[in-house]
Amino acid sequence: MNRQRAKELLIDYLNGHLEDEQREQLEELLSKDEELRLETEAMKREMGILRSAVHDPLEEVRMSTVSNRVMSELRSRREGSLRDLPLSWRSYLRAAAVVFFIVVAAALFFLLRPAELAETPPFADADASEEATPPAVETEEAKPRSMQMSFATDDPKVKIYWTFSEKFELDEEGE
Amino acid sequence: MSTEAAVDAQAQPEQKTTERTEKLLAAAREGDEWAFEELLRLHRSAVYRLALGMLGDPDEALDICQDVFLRFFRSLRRLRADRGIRAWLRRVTIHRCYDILRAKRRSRDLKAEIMPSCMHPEDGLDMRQLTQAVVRALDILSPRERAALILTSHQGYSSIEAGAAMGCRSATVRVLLHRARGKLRKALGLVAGELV
Repeated sequence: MNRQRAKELLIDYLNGHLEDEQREQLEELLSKDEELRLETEAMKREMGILRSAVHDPLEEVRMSTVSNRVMSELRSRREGSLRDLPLSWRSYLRAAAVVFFIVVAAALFFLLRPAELAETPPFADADASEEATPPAVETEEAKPRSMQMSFATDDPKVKIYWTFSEKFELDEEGE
Repeated sequence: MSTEAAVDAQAQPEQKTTERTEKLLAAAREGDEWAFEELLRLHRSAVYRLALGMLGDPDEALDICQDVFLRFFRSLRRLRADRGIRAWLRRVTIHRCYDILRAKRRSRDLKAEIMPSCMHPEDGLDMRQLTQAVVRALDILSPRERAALILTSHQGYSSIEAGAAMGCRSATVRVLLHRARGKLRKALGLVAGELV
């Protein structure tokens, strides 16, 4: 190893990155070469100056700031991640939202519907008979008069009922 | 204790760290927020110090840190092993700093005003003068010379590691370091004569 090569390797030597063989050769040369020794000392001094000049005593404080900033940025991006979904997923989500809305609306309708409608079942038992029987009116005073019409469909299990409330005025013969 | 046993004993903590990083990396890939935060905690100081050395401004170094770790998060699936992560972080940090240095072309006076805020309050006037002189001297260097100097002389990386971060050979790093030291000595000459 000559002096030029040793000078090139000095930085790795001082940082402790040289392999054993190279380190031994360099140390041997250092023990003999005064100029190389001075160069080594100068480099050590420069490294010391650089390290003491470029440092941040508030590093620990700033490090927590880094963590907070990065994590809050990631969380805010995650919250807005629906926009990043592929188109197919977006349409599935829309369909699911529509179904959910319909189910909730239907549930609310049956729970909160008016009392007179609640007493009249919207669908009679389809298996009972082909011809639907209108629900019996218990008393004229207690129950509002109503008329129910039924329509058969192609499917024997499905019937359509149409209930008229007492707002329809019937004549005396009930026609 | 035999030599082999001593080497094994030295290698064990490094192996444990690597294993831990691997586990954290795997968990972070699965969306574990805590694991990612732990990886961030492990590597944030190295990234910050490198960015501070390159830019000289704590606020800019913080911005670089944030940007680098957000890129790190997006690249989680591509990264492998502890050493791979460290090398990747160094490379990305250096190249982000290049961008900043090239884009801003800041004046030396501006940097000299910013850097003393990084000093210990108990530091004397000599330290302040020295810091300002070093900052001015660093500003003379080209981004690549500065990177070679900071990576090796300030951060203590080998010329091979510095070359990997800068995207060049270790021999190029040594040449850049030689040039940077020459400029630094010249710039610090008067102050160094008075202070050191």
